Amino acid sequence: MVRFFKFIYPYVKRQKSRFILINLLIFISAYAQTQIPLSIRSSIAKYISTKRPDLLYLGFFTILFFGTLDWLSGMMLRLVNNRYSQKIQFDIRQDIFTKLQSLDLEYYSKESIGQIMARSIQEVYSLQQILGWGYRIMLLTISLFIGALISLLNTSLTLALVFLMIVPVILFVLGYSTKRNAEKFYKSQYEFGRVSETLAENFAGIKTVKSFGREFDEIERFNKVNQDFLDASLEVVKVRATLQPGMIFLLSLSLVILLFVGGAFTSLGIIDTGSFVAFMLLSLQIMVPGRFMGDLAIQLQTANTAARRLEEVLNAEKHLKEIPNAPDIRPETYSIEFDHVYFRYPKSKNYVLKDISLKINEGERIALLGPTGSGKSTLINLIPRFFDPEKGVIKIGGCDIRRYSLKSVRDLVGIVHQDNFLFTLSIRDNIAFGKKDASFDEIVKAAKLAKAHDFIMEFPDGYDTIVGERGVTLSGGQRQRIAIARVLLANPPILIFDDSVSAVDPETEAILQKNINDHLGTKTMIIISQRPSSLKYVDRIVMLEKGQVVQDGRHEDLISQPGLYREFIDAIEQQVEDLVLMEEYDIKKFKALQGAISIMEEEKGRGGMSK
Amino acid sequence: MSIHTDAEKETQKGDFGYSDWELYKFMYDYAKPYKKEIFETIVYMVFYSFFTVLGPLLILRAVDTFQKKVIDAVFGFEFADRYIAEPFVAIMEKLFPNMEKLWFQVAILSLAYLFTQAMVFFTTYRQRTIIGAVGLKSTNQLRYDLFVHLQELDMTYHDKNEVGRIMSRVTSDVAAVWEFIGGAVVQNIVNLITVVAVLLIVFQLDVQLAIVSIFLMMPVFFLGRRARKYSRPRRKEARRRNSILMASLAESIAGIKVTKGLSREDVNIEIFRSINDGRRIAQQRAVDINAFFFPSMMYFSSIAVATIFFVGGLKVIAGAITIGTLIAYINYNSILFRPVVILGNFYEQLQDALTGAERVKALLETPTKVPWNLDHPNLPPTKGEVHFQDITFEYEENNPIYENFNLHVPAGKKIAIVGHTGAGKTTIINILSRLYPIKKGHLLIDDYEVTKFSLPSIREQVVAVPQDFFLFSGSIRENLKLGNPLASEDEMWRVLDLVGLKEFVETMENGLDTPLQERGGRLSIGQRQLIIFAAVLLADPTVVILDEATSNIDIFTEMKIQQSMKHILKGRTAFVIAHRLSTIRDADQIVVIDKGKIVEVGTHDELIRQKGAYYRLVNNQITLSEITN
Repeated sequence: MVRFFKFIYPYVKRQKSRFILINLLIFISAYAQTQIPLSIRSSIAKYISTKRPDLLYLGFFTILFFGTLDWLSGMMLRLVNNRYSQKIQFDIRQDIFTKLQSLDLEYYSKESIGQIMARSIQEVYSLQQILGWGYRIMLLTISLFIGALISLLNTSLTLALVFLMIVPVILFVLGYSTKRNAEKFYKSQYEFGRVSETLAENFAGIKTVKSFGREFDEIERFNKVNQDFLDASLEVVKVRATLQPGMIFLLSLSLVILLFVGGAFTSLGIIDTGSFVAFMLLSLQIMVPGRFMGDLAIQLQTANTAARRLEEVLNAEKHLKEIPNAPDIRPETYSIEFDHVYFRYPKSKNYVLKDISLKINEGERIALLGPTGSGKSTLINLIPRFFDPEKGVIKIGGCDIRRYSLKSVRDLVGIVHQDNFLFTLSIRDNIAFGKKDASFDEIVKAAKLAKAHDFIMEFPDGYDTIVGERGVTLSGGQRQRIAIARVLLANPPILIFDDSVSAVDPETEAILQKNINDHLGTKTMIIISQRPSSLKYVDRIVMLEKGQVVQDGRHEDLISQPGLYREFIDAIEQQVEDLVLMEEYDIKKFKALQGAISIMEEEKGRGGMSK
Repeated sequence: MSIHTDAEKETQKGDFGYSDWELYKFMYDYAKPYKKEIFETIVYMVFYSFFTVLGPLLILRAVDTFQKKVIDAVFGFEFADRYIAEPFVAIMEKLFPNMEKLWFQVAILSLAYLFTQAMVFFTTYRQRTIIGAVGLKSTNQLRYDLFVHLQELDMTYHDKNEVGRIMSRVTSDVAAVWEFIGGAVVQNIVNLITVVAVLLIVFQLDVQLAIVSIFLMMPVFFLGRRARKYSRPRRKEARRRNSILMASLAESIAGIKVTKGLSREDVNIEIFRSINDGRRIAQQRAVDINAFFFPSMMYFSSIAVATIFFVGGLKVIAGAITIGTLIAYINYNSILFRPVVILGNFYEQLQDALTGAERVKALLETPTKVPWNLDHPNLPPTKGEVHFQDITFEYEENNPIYENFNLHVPAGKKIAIVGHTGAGKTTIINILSRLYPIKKGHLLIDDYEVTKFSLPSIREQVVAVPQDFFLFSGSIRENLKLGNPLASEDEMWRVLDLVGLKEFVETMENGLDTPLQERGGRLSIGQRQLIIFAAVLLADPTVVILDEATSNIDIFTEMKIQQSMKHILKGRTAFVIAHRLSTIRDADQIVVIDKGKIVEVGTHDELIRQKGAYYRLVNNQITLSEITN
């Protein structure tokens, strides 16, 4: 139970005045509620026992007065409480979200979207009851107890003490049950997260599921987690079903004890019958909220579980250690240097990158080539510090990137990822994703550079067209171009394209690449591509194989020596030759083309192409 | 700032058009298989109510006993007095001759009271476990049905609804319904029974006082009805906001890499804040209604008490009733109004349940445009001849992508579809793979009209790899099972070998059982494509459709695949979309598409000779490929 209170305390503190007001109102309404039976008692004594029908209206109005007070304070209480509990939920969600945004990619490789969602939606929601109704009932019950106690103290100290004996018993039962059943509650919530996980994954992958006709296997899979959730929940139901009436029974038992003690006191003449009747009425009055004590106990357990699961997110460890108050990186040049870098994914025994040493000068354009799984994407993911290498250092402009603030490092690097992701926003907002304050002209300019403007304008809503969750209404090539525009608009000094034109048709690609090249200026660029066309504008080629740099040099140098690059080019040539020799394709024209290209090649160089 | 503009449009603020009655019936239908359990619960409830009513009566009688010092009839019921109270008192008097008789009378009353309370415990426990299980099981069924329905719903639905939004239906909305079936409904029935029982007693005690209570209960019902009117639209809005919140959250997590790359965290947090705030305000407005109505309903209980005091006081003074009766009466009044208290509490839940039920029902009743047709016959084994006949296809109403599209593909041929981005290549695939409905025309496989056969049987023979295919976070084995759930381990290794992944998988820490993380994140995109290829091989379809499936594979791997592909595609009809013309060079037929029209059809050689659109594409390709040489 303590966990929940600890968890909620800082949030309550943020709304001190509301919290105080709530407590005040609870006391007022508790006071009013206690006064109703008391005024009944005194009115009976004053007006009925003395047979004064002419004064009966006084009793009527006294009761009505407290009733009205109860009504007004109750209404106020609920209104304030509503604002207070909604605000706390808001704050917790906001904190969770902020934390999620700050957690690194390693966290996301372990925790599924479904579990995260279950935590931040369902768990937070489950706090609503305890913050509103639960707390009110708790305090109300406590104040009714206290109120009853005070009136009892006036009559008999011993009776009051007997009355008090219930409290430790109830607390003990609550504490014991919480401890014993904590795992059951947690399991049920966890299984719910699993349901949510399965759902999230299935809906995200529904197209693949359908394409393979695997709906029924998915149903089977869902059925299993759904069943597990059911089993875990049934356990909780049993706990709930025992706890709630159990509490009531405890209260009933105490009522009997009070009856005997009170009865004894009456017969011994220690208290008068009127007090005793009022006392019993009070006890019955307590029974009303007392009934809810059981529900309260359940809510406390649920809240405790929720707090535990929320803390797991809020206290999740960041794997990327950022030096506190790290300065922003301000390199003099935008060169990139890998110094004996080793990397492997957590739990994996094999290194994805082994002893990578590589220097890329400012303004240099590098092509990173290599077979599937050779570690190309991993390598470039280290530059903006999505992950830290296990060994070795990565420097930008000679500065070890780990020494500087993460944001400032990432601001230097723009990556167009392989698995481009578009948000459910307008195209305009998607392009401006990295530069919120971009003007429309800038957005259009970036879109034109990325060869996206024309197709965007074909949509009836143009730049205001909303793209679906995974950009489903766009073709792969269109999505890639928007993703490119997004990075171009952010305009970082280092640009990385990770196989980002694979779905763009060659003609568009050619223009796109020329556009980017013209735009580059002195920017440093790394490009990963399976297409030879990407080699057109690069200065240097780095061949990666099994996590190691096997070749590094200019096209002219590498082509003349045996090695992976030569094989790569040969393979492509072979493909093209197949294409050409198949028919009486215009070989002359082809040759002429090649001639033109070699001339371009010569012209190409630092100054030659950039103008 | 435009945040989920489409999301806000998606669900209108208005009604789904169901009456409350329909919604109750909808929920009842899910509870129906548990009739026996529900009946059992009701029996417990009757006992529960009986004992709940009896309890205070016994206590008050005990109080009265103290007041009068000694009474003649302990329980006031002849049967109970003769067979329980009198023998008990007689025995106790023998055992403790020094004590007053009064104490034994109180003792037996207390014992009886404790017995009633034990029974209250027992009946509550039984009720709650049974109905709790019924609630869970029926909502589990509901969740299952929703899931099944969502599996059947075609892509036109899924394209428009974000993951988070759909999830909110299956989780939050169903949970709201559960609260009702598993909790509120019991309470309501219990309350109803209690009210009837108490009313019976109350009328016996004093008719005039009973009329006071009943008279004052009228406005409470009136207020309840009013509250519904204001509460529902607000509840609905709150639910809608909740689903927007879930959608936004799911998307932020899915796109975290982009966010981090562009250092967009701050902006995202701000956007989330406004969505979060929207939800907060909507929820607040919904609950505010309750804050007003509930205490107001309660207020009538106080008015009733005051009035009963007044009227009852007059009667006591006149000697018509005793003070004990009056006190008992006041106590009963609170029992009578207690359902209001509880109803008020569950009212929130009830409104929420109805709103949830509404959203769930609406989803369940969303028709699928490409039904499974499980009652239709299975597609017999085919050779794989495909006929598109006069097909009209559109994603959006009245915006056809294809009109009267015709294409005939003989069995076992390899068809390459080429064209510019946005020319409609993927759409052909979407028509063929039955992910979307065909508006007009016929799609035939070996002269069998596909709509006349069960969809799963068609998908056994027609398998597509979509452009944005998806790998699951499970193991490699599970992902391979996408192709064929019955595939043996040997077969899996064989296909992994064919696509050139065997060596790689062997070096992974758990081999085939290595988990791939969310969306296959552990693998490079090229590797993911190879996995999905392996799954296709396991599926062993007659017609295979590859949509740009080789685009991220490097040249070495691609050549390797192409070698095995030749064998694999043998005897199958294949549709391939690829921008790299080399991958489609040896297609039997190349179909060039532009703006929803077939502009050229032929073999590579023929089309090159034609010097048309394809020729230009190839030309371009070569230019691009060879440019550095």
